[in-house]
Amino acid sequence: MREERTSEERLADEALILALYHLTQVEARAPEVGDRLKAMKLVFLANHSMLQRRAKGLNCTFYRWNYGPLSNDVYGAWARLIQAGLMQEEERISVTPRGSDLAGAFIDEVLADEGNRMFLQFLQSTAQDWARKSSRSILNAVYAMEVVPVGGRTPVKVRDLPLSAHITKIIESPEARSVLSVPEGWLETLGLMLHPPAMESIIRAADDARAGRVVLGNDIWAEFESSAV
Amino acid sequence: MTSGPSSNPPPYSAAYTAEFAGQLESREFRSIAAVIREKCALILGDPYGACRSERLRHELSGKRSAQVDRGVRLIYTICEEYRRLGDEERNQLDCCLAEPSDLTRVTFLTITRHYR
Repeated sequence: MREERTSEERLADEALILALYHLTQVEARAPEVGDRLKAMKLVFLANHSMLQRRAKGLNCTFYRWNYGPLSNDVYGAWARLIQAGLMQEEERISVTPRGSDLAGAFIDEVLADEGNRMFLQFLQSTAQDWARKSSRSILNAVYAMEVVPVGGRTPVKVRDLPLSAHITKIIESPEARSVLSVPEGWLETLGLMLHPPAMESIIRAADDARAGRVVLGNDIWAEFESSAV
Repeated sequence: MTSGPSSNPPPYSAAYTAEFAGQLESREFRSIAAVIREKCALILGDPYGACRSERLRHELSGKRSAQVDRGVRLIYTICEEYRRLGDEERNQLDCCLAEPSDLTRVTFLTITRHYR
């Protein structure tokens, strides 16, 4: 069983998580998603519903831990989304206005595409069902869910799973009934937007270009030609 | 993704920002300056298709990303594309202000690592 996601899967996961949180805030008409427990379980519920229909969208690996399903992939996504200024965590987790703009564009240009619409519906129904619920009631509902653990055959209630038991896994494209398709231009964009030094450099460069701080022609290479001799 | 090159592509001219020059001289990229130069030349020959060029989206709309290698990117604009997409209204570059504008200018903005 593969646990390490590809870079494409990781970027798509982070965009889907941001979109899910954005939809949750819109659904709840609230400026925040909620506490860490709620934010984690929302991703689990969306990820699990996709897996049940063999839809390859979210690729997070969840395992049973002290307060129900937990994924280190989601912790990683939070860290990167916060560092990129797309999400923030004070006492509770929220999507920033810039994060909401990005999520909205990703929904309109990628998830609303006919081939991907099913994945938008997974996120929307998760947000509709759970956005207004408290962390405690979501946790109770998750504990009562029956899941087939990875490698198992029979359904078990989440609360009865042993600690560390894997609940979700990455499904490979050939095994999936449907696969989220993220255009390469969007993957490139996400890869830059989630890397703050890249964005800082692009902003400085655009300022240079606006101010005319540019070198025309090939003079820029002269130094490297002479040092190569 | 390739989009929009004419059948007889015009000869594209290059401009490099101060940020690009700074990155080129940095410890991080200086050792691959020759490779970067080669990639810039390829892009000037085919700015819409060379080096897996991709049109960026959302906040980065109007800009392109091309691969130096798996982890390093050249970020640039093509003036004619920038104009066609209407991006100069939101985010004017100096080539957009030039009279007459140099539509065949490729402005190499920066060299950067990519989160992939």
